[in-house]
Amino acid sequence: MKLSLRGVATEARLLLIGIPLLLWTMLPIYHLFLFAISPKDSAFAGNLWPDHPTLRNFAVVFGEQHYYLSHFWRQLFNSLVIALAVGAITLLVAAAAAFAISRLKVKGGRTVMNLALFTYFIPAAFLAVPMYRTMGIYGLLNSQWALIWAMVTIAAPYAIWVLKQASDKLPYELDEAAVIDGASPLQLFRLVYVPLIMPSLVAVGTYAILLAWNEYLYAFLLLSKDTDVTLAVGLGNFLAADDSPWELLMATGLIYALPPAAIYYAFKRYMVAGLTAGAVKG
Amino acid sequence: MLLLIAPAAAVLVLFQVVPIVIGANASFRDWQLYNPKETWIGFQHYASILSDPVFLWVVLPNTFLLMFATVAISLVLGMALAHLLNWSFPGHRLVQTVILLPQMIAPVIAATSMRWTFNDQFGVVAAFLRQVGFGQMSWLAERWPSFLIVIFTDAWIWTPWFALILLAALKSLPREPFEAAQIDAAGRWRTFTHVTLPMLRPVIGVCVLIRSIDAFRTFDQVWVITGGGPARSTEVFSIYAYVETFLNLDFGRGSAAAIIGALIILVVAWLMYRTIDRLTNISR
Repeated sequence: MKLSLRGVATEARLLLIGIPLLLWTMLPIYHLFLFAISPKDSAFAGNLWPDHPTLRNFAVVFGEQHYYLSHFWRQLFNSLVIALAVGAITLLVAAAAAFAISRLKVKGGRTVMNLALFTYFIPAAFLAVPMYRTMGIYGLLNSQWALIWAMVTIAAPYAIWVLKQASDKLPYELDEAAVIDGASPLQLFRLVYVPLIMPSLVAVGTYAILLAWNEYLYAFLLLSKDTDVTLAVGLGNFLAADDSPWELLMATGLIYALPPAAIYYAFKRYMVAGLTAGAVKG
Repeated sequence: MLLLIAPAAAVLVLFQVVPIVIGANASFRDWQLYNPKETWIGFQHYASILSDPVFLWVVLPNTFLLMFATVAISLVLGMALAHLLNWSFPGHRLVQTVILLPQMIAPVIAATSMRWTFNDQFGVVAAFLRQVGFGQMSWLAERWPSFLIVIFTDAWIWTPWFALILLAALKSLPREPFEAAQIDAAGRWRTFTHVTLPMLRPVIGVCVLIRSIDAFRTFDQVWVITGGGPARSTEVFSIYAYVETFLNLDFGRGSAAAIIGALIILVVAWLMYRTIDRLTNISR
């Protein structure tokens, strides 16, 4: 870049906006991090850097050495299983539906699409109690399937919508060619549709996994045993008391944010492409 | 090939339509969880909620204020961030990575952290204010300061989302209009308002719509930071329905509150969709 007075002025102005923005984003995370590496008694000192930074909090978390954390590994495992199940089921259900609606123009497809969009407007928190009763009727209460199905239905409408938008953009000639070659609808789905729509599938799967991973309200309502709940609920339990070990909560919170961050960075390219494909009709 | 949409239809009916019907049915009945008489009382719950001063003068304004403020703030900041990230400077990949962290952290954790950041004795903000010479400030003991923290937290969580999508949209814009603007010697701000913004309008429209519907049902952040307090002054819709049901143990009334909320957001979302559609032609 050629260094001119005007250029310097613009850069200075950009920094003027950029630095506060960065601070705004980073400050709470820094605070979280500060908590996580502070020993218990100095966590509240209000300093900008702890006098004796320590990794002991993480050791306590990994060793399940605190009452609130006595099922840390179990709950982390639960989070993982439930999030993956939600991701897989959402993908299967939504991809099949989007394929049928967009490519095969199945009768009743519009009805399902409209139903999905309608349920997207109904807030999850509003449905919490009826959902609880419904799961009771199905005999699913206190089973992790209750949470899995609940999260699938929350993720499905958006997933179907995004996948349908993406499918509408695929050229029909591909389908026609495959049909002329004698492909059955299932072969069309497996061999033509799924490979073409892969980026959107990755995006939608990631979305569903992240949604289930961080869900608090439903996980808290539908599961009750300490060995069944996800770590998100385990973290929420800290809030029950005023003198909770906050430094441990923050350490666990940081650990809990790592898997989503990893998934996210692995699939970042797909995420943006896939989610905006739904956002912008071409 | 009905088999392909059957799973989606079944899931939606079993876990969305059935709960909605159960809730709707309960909202017309006297259904306290400790005394489930389940007698039909018609619109009594609806009438009592719609004439509840807390609902009318606290919950309703709070919900819309939260929705409007958080969407507006995170849109403006997200737009600024997207522009900064679109500009290549040393280390911009690292910054791009770091900036997305608020989306990764579970809302429960983010909200708890925020609660401590603003704690009147131990928080960083309090420490800073003391340094600059302000007195003690009990943020969470008053309505507007605590509500401000809720808005701030929600906007903080969602700014990266806007930034990410707007950045992708910025990168996909054609170059020619910008070159033309440069030839016409348009300044940065004029280029932004006259070239960038009109081209981004469809994306902004959809983002605002999706985010507004989401913001209307915010629960986690409000619950963790204020719990609706002090004295119910920061309650929003989802908290109101939750309190009616799980703290007052009134399933009928809680369901009625839920349904009123759902109807309001349906109308609001539809009006927004119409307006945004007219402004940006997203459906074409």
